[in-house]
Amino acid sequence: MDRDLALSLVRVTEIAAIVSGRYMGRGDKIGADQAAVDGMRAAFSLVNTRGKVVIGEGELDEAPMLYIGEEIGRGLNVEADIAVDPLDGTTLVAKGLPNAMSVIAMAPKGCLLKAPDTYMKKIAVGPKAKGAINIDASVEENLHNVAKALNKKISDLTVIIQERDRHKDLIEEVRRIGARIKLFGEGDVAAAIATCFEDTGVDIMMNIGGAPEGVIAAAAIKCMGGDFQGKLMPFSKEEMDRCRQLGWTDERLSQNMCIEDLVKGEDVFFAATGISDGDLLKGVVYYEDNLAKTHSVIMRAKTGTIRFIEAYHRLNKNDILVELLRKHR
Amino acid sequence: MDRNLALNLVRVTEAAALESARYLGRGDKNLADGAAVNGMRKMFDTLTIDGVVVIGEGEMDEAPMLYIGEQIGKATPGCVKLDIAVDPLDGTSAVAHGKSNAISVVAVAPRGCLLHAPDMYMNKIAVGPKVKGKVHLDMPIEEIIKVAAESLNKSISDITVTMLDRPRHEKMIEEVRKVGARIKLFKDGDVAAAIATCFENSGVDILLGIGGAPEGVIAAAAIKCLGGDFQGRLHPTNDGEVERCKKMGISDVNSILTMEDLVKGNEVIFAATGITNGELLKGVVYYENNRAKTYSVVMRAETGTVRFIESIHRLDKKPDYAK
Repeated sequence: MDRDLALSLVRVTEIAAIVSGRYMGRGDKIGADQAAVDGMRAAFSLVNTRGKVVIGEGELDEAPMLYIGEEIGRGLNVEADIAVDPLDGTTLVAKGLPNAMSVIAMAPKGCLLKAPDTYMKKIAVGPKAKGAINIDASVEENLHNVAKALNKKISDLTVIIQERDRHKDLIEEVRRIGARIKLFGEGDVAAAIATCFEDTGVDIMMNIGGAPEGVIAAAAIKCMGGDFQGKLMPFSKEEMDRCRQLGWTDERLSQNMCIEDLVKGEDVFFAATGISDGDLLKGVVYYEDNLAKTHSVIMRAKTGTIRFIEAYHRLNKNDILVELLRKHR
Repeated sequence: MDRNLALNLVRVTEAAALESARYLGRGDKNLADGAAVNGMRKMFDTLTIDGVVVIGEGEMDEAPMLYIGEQIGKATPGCVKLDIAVDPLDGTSAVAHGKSNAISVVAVAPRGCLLHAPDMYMNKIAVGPKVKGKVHLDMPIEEIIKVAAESLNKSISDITVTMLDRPRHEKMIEEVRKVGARIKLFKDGDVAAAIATCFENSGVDILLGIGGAPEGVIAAAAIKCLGGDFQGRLHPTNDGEVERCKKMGISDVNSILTMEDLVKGNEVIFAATGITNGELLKGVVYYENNRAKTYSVVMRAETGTVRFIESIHRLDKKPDYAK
């Protein structure tokens, strides 16, 4: 895929973040998400590659925009798979809490897993611990292997886990082994990516969260040379039906998926823009005189380039933004 | 102009910076400059543009690459025709001696929009957005400083004037001191110093003095994107230079060149990457495992967007200016 996609994709997440950021702390999850979707969808009209949404806002009957199967971007032929999470952390924006961001991943057609909207058991680490994880092994074995790969003591290791009842046993087990824990409320993608940056202080993610978010996180981690494994875990009959519809047999469900199963090949782009301040990215800041600042990251697996972009935007000079901000004030 | 040109221009200055920074402190200005030119040229060759160098490394007989009039890019039928102004290494001796403020810069605008400034001196004034339109080159220095102080809501003793550290500026330095403003002298890096006036954090408010005319055009392009102001007047030092101005279509060498004379319209993109640490951009850092980090800025006058880009490059994965 064309390297010009890099900046195009950042523009998409930047615009989603700027528009969604208007809802910070307003207690309106749905408004914040809608703003991010509107922003992403509008900004995509400037992208010169046509793609099909494989991870999006839901099925066509659930979502009017960025639904699974929707074709977006300029061009005649669909050349790419697109995975989006316009707002990773809806309640974070609604409550003004940290770590909300807007994310997008893109790869050639057929390279991103069409993950069903169900739970996924995940484990993620940065480049130095690549190859040291195994989702089927015990927590203890994983922590020991990762600590060894990072040349850290177990007590220096930080595991990031979502604060949910389903993780009670996992948390107890990690505490027993003696590693540190960072709990997060929401923002599954951000948590997984944090493992790939030493400065975040996060070494390993162990979690049961959304499968779609797993694919997006895997795309980012591939760009950074980290490691990710996942296994689908349908909890309800409804989730199981969804898996069956997409052709997941019991045998396939029981398989341990590595990063290559989730994201094929090296021609992968990932972009994210912070909405509220987070471990990796700062949130949107609105200044006087119609000026706003965003903080983004864009990566490309093929070249391994990682770019952090701090951008100052003139909100009154960009037609797309002017239009969007009229609706989302 | 295509908005994706923005990141591609950053790729161009990044390539120049990554090549040139290899020669940090080696004491060889020419090697450092040659490396920057080489890196810049190779990356330019990958862009789909129909560009002509209007500000470059010199005349065709003086420079093997990026000379004035050189055709740049992979021109395809119907692709955008551009004027290109480059300074692959602004601050050659800074890199040669491992000193601060060396950057690689490029500015582009549609064909005919950048002044073909001859390679000679130019008397300049540059200020940030808040002082825009309030000062001009022929104002007495005292007045310039007073107006700037008023516009910035600073006292005169808080105003910082920056100029090249050259004997020709002795009188000007005395005058600024008499008015009571602060002075920051720089040895090298005319473009970076002019741009600094547009960033509050740089602590620099006004650029004054005589520097290179080509650098003046590049600085004007950046300052246009940032909403600041710039004026220049060519400063020929002999009859031959006066002749050269006339040949390049500048009939009255004594007239003030305004921002619009230097850079027409608002379809301008400017990009810069730090080579050594400076006020605006950090220099190139080389890490273990073939990685390097660069700091760049790219701006576009049309939308007013300014992007600071911190990039981590995998030098072993980067193809030779192709991917």
